[in-house]
Amino acid sequence: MIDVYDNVLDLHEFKSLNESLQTVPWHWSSYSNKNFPTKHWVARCGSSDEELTRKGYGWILPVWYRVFEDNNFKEKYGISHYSRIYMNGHTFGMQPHWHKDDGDFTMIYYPNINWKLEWCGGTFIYDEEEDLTRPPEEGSWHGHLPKAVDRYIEYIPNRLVAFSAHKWHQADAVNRECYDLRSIIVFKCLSESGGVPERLDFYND
Amino acid sequence: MIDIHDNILDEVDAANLHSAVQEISWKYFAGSSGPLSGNAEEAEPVEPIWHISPGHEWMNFWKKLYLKLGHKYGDLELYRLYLNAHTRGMFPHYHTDDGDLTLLYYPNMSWKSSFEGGTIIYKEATKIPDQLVEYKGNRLVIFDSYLPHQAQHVTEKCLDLRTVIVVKCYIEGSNRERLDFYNV
Repeated sequence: MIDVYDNVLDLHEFKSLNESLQTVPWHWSSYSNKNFPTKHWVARCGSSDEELTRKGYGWILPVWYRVFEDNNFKEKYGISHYSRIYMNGHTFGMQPHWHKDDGDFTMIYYPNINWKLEWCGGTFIYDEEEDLTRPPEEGSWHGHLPKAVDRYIEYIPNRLVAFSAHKWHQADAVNRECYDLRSIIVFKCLSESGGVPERLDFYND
Repeated sequence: MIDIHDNILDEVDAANLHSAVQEISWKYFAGSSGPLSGNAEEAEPVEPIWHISPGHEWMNFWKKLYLKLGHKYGDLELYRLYLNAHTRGMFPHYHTDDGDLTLLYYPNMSWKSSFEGGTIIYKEATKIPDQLVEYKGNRLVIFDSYLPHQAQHVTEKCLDLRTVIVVKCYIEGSNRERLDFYNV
């Protein structure tokens, strides 16, 4: 399941969000895949509206409520709320690694209003296959590795992509023409029913 | 004048500072460029860096430096303290500073010399390198603010954040001649 939603916010809201985006305090501490050494920038926003507001990230909430309500996520994906929101960032020269997420659904919002398509920086989402030559990796990945790109989601400002958290995915590097920060807002979501892959495929029908 | 002071802080203070810098929140900021001559036509494109102006708690760092340096450079008056950082793929720009003296402190105690990431200091009003001050944890480099300088990029294999604490000072009652006197 991979769903794309464009023009999530109206232009006024989107411009306002971009002003707030400039104020984000970033930490250099996060790995996209702990089996690889590359780090990226992260801002941990919170797990509830109250926490986001208290930490100064209340400006993210319109993205969630707009996309959630306009697209009936409760019925479509069986989710009632996000479980965690954070932001990731990287610049030219950094190479994020492929990984799977915890939770049932991952929703990635592309907030940078100045982003240009030619800078790359989208998201690869992969099909996987069982790799019998390698021991299982830490966590629940069980030796399944990416096989081929299922879909490439371009970094289009004000776009949100929703996909099953069990799918391998990877932030694309940015090219040399880009001097900007490739930032994303990630919404981690739990399905009310437990969100096993079969069920996610059910919702995809 | 370019002076280097290794192991400027006590071991414990240096370790604590290393940890404190690891915890810092950074802003993506366009702040390291600017034409040497002030002629806009000579300005190079601005490349952003990571930057933060920390709070009053960092005054302790300045106090420790001040005590270590004594009056070697005259009566130093702090007017600005901030931190800059860059990663692989970022190339900070050639620039001069305001103030009389610039103090750069390298806080990362686990930095490897193979990462490069030092500071290139140029001869006055030129692009001729005078000295490359390598990045070494707990090292302080002091130079005249009018000297052009540039943070060196880090190498392909460096996956760490190159951080520096920048302290800008005035010297009470100073002028260029007076600074040159201290340079003797």
